[in-house]
Amino acid sequence: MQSSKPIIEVKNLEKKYDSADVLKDIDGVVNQGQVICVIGPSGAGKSTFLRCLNLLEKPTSGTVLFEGMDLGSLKINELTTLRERMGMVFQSFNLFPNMTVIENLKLAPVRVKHMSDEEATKKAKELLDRVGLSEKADVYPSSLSGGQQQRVAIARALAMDPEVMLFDEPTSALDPEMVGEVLAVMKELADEGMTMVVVTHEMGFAREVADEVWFMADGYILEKNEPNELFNNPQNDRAKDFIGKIINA
Amino acid sequence: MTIKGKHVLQAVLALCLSLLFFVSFSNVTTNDQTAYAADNSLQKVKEKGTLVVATSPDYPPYEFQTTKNGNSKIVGMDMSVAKKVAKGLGVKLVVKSMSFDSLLVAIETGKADVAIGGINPTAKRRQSVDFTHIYYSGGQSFLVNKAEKLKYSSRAKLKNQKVGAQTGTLQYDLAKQRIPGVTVKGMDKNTDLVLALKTHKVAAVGMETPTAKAYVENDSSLAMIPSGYKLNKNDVGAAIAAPKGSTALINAMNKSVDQIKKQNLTDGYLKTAGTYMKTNTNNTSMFHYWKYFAKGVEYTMIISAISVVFGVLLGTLLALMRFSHNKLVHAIAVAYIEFVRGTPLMVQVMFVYFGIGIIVNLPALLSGIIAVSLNSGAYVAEIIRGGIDSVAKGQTEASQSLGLNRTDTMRYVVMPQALKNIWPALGNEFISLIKESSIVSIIGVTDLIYQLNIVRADTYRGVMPVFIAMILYFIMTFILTRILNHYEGKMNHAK
Repeated sequence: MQSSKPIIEVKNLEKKYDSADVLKDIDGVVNQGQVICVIGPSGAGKSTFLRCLNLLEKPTSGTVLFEGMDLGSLKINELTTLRERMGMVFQSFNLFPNMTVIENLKLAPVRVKHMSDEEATKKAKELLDRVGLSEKADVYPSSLSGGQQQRVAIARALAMDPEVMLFDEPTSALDPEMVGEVLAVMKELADEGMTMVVVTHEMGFAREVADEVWFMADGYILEKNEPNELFNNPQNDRAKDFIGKIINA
Repeated sequence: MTIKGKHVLQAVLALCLSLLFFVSFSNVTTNDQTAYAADNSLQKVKEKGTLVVATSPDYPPYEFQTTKNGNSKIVGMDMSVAKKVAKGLGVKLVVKSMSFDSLLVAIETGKADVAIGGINPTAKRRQSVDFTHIYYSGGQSFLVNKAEKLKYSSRAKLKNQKVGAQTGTLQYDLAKQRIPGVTVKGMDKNTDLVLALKTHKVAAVGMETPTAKAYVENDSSLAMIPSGYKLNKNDVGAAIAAPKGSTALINAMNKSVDQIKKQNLTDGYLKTAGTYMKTNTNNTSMFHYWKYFAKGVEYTMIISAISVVFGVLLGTLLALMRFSHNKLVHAIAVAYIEFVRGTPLMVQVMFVYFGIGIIVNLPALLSGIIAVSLNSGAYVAEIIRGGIDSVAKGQTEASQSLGLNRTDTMRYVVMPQALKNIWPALGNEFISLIKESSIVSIIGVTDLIYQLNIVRADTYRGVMPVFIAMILYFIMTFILTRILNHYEGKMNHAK
């Protein structure tokens, strides 16, 4: 299912907050159907990197190409069309608390894609079924567990039929017993051929599911490799140190 | 734009607002000058067929309200004089009521043709308006507590004492200048001054003799002493005020005024006023006056309810403008909010009624509603801004990541959550509107405070009407609080 058709290309990406460099000289290509896991210590700039991909953060310099289109040149209304093609899942779920679960799923298809209510409802039900939460359609998010909320958030992003899914530490805020259910949904998604960029601390998931693992530290991508290579035989010293600590933990 | 540049822009905009303010008011003088150039004052009144007279009906026996066949009506000596004058001009009399402080402004800004209200034509006042001849001069007296009548039997004995007088009146200036060592305590209303006298906060209250006489007749614990002031004839007595330069109108009115003076018609007028006052004080039970209070509650509720709706609409608009990426739009909103929050509501009410009134003639009630709405909008804008800020940033990001534009994000995601967060604060704003809207009484809107003052003036009872008004305000805000709590509970349930 994997092809070598690049969906996202990043060139010389830099991000500065005031005077602090958060991202430095980032290059990378995400091909269609690929699952990229981004790992690294806290403060490495992983989340910022991810957020630069759909322009929730504006890069200070460098280019991000989405299917060959330069994101830096987009106007605000073009930006929203771009974003509907890239789903994002957040660490803190960010479900809309003022809407029921199914309303959360229907909002964007109806408002952005101008889908009919009926059609959107049908689609939302299918997606809830897929993440195993059909019976929760009419409850408010606050009555769900963290794991359930994150599964709803994934379904909500999928409702827009995105070409790429970005995951920003999707399991970090979860109680340990709920991590599995969310990872299972993500794995299923990967198996179906979804292009995914996942910032994560779940090394097991990265090893099993990723096509490529990118190791980030201090704002740089220091090493990119297949998961087995990177975990078993890291080349970069920082990567060695990081992976050594994780394995010994 | 740098931070500093932004502040400069806001300051400039705020300054523009104040300039607008200034220009509107300075128009007053321009109008006067044109009036000088061509005095069409009399012609104007005759063409309209009405003489609009501004008065402050809380000053018996000069002018006060009474109930006749269930309808409230302004009566008193001044009203008889006004009727006679209007008749002399061959036009219909229209009476417009407002606070005493607003009378002269009203004629300067064209809200009324003339003002009557026991106004002393002092030199100071002559600088801004013209006066007819004096139609009545009742002399000056002091009201004292009966028990202290011997202690304070003459003006000389008031030396080094506290003496009360209405602010901005002849009595105030006289007391200040002619009683050695005196401390003059100025208040807006005679009813308040008499209350101060009865509670021994002042030793005496300076007032016109007929007014003092009316108090003595209606309250057995009071007595009056002669003032013994020797006064310039031009300064004492009451005259009708008209805009500066309206000589033709003044001359025409003087014909009737001279007749009144010559035939001593005011004696008869006072007698009639006395009968009305008797009917007023015959039954000073507050139940007897329930209609006044009911009307006051009605107007207070109308003003607050309409103003809160427009205040929320305007406030939402301003809050969204504040979040705009357009720097000019943002600066306009900030300047508006800062300017309105930085000026008193009372000034704003007068500005809308008298200032804007020069360009568009707005009725008092509408002016009051507009001013209160504009004021509330600024406060609501800040409440809503706080509410929007209180919605987690992740909500906006999640919405944007789904491809929703800024408008939809605001409308479906941020605003509903913000509204829920600010509901208690909005409720507080509504409650304070009910209370603060009372300021519109100064331009003659018949809200609860206005009616309260009428009832106090009519019944010579200082405290009871205040107590009733207090209870009525409390009932209004209490019911409102319950309703708001009910909805707040509902919203929490939905979550």
